[in-house]
Amino acid sequence: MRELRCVACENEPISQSSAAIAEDMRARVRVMVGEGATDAEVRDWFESRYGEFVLFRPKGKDLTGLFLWSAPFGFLVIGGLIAYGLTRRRRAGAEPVAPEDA
Amino acid sequence: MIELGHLAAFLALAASLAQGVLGLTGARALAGRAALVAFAVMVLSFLTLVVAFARSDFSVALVANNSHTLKPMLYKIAGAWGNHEGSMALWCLVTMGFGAAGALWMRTGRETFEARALGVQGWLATGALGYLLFASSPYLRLDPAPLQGAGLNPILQDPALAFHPPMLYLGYVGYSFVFALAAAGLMEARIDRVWAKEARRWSLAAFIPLTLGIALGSYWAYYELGWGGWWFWDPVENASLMPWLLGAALLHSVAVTEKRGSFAAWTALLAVLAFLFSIMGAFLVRSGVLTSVHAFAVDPRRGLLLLGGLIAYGGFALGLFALRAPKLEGGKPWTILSREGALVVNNVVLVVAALTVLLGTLFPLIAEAAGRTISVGEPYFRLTFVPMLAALLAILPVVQAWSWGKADLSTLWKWAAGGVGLVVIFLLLGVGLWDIPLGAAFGLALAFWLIFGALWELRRRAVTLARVFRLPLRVWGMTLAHIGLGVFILGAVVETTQRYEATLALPAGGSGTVAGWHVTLHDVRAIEGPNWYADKADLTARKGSARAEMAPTKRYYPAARMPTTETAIHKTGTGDLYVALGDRRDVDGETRWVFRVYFNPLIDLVYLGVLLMGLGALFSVLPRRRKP
Repeated sequence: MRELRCVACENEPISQSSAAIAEDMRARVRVMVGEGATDAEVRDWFESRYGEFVLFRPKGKDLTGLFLWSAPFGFLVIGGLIAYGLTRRRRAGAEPVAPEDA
Repeated sequence: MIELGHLAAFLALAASLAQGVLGLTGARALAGRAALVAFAVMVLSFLTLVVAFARSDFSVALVANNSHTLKPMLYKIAGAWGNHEGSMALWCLVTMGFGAAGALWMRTGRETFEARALGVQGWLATGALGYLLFASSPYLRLDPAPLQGAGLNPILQDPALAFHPPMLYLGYVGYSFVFALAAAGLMEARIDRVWAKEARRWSLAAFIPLTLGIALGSYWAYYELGWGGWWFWDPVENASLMPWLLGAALLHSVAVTEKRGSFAAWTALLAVLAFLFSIMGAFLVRSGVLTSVHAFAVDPRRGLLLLGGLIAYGGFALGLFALRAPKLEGGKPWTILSREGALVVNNVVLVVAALTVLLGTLFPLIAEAAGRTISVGEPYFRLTFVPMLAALLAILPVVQAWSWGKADLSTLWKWAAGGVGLVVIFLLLGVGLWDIPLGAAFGLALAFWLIFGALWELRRRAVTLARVFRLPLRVWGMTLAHIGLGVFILGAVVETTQRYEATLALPAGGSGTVAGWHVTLHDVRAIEGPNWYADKADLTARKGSARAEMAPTKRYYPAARMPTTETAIHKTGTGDLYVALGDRRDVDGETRWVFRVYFNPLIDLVYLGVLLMGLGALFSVLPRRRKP
């Protein structure tokens, strides 16, 4: 329930919201889970009814979604490559020196 | 009275302008004096605002819009900064405060450099004060004066929140002086060990209040919003997390510059970015481009001005950086497998983590422009931000012992074996015995690994027990901060994965059981406070021989027409029993009250960990002990 956004509130998951609609949404989740629905099925049902806005875990299915999910790791790779490229210049004559304080 | 404050603010503007001009021409003594004058008159100006709030002078428009005669005195005073205009006045005050502190306590022995730093700080103050006076003036009168004020946003009427904004602003704005130092250093293309020594002290001076300010805000959200958690990845929280991450990266990078002269350009860039991200935080919160639960005073025009300021300062500093970075001198040589190399990894990960938070916060806006409405929430950050930082922290105990220049790798296999052993133990215990999720088992292993690693490093440096207390305070600071990280992770992992929550709808005399606690409702009474009335529930919670009386309350503030939740928290040795009162329901002619009951295990460790990090930073900034 923490992954579904209350449609009437600002940025609150339905697990925390005290709005009436959130209570209805919670009840709906309970019914569906009681009927044996998986998490993915519950999410799909809410998405088809209220739109992708209700999902706190955005989908990675199209280009925007893929960008959102891959960008952090992309940044990490790019940052690593840049850092590696810069460090290669500094290697000659490195001597170990023990740190005397922090 | 308030006119005096208005006049004083104009004097402060003139003094800041003088500081800006004099400083950039290299007149250290005169610029310093101007900075002190600016701060002194701004203090006076801010005091007139505070007095207007304390006396509930409703002829001042700001007081009329944000205060109320029935408010307790603490909140009347805190009301002075509990709104947009007042908080901008505070921003100006702190900017000038750092200018004055810099004028008094900079010790580099480089006159032109110090003058220029004061000059840049003067221009930052001029910009902030200009914005205050011409775009969001708190000094305006109201005629005729109303008899009663509109009241402070009631969720802000809380002791933690009275002190949260000043703390946070000390942090945000503290980076303005770090920015000024970086700009001045870049102007003379001299970012060296002397520069780094000075910049490090100011970076710590900003990092400590920022850390405590975030912790206070988080603690407030925990007990006042009644949502049971301590971090919601809300845009406002993210806005404070980004400068914190960059600030943490800066602390590590500036230490390298201080000790080895390396990373000069990178450190200067981080110093600039930390402040730019602070302004961006203000822009995101104040412009209303992002929806948030605790954004107040939203106005697009002001947002545009803040954005303009951000672009102007950013353009200036980054332009300067581009011109001067190639001229900076490098430090001593080093290989990748060295203390420097490890700190590069630290910096790359912390900066990418900050960018990830930025992306997650802004992405709904970008997607909206592309015609999709989406929400980015906790699951996104859990799957991107968390593993990134976890990987960084996993190597921390190992690389902490590495030397500058080139590391001795002969003990690496012992570390690897120890780490793997710890993970295996926790996987067996966690998944096999305690039945917790796999991620939580890794998290616990990481927490103990960090605490152990920090203590081991202390032992390694001291060699003998007797010498532990003679180690430099900086080493103690580092150890405390790293233990703090471990304690924080321990609390965060246990709290998020083992939290228990339930909703109970109880009639008077009814009871229910949550996480082994048997909760009985006696009755719900209507009570009245100075500027609110409330429903107060009277509950008894029992578990074994333990027993707690709890009184969760729902307040209603008629002046602001808003309800607030006052949660009841019972601290046990292992966590908080947390009860929030919800709505009243009538079912089949019987009145029931809805309670949200949580058991939050080890949540205190989350705050203890953050406090330890702040304390560690404090130890690092204290002056060196004299050698006997």
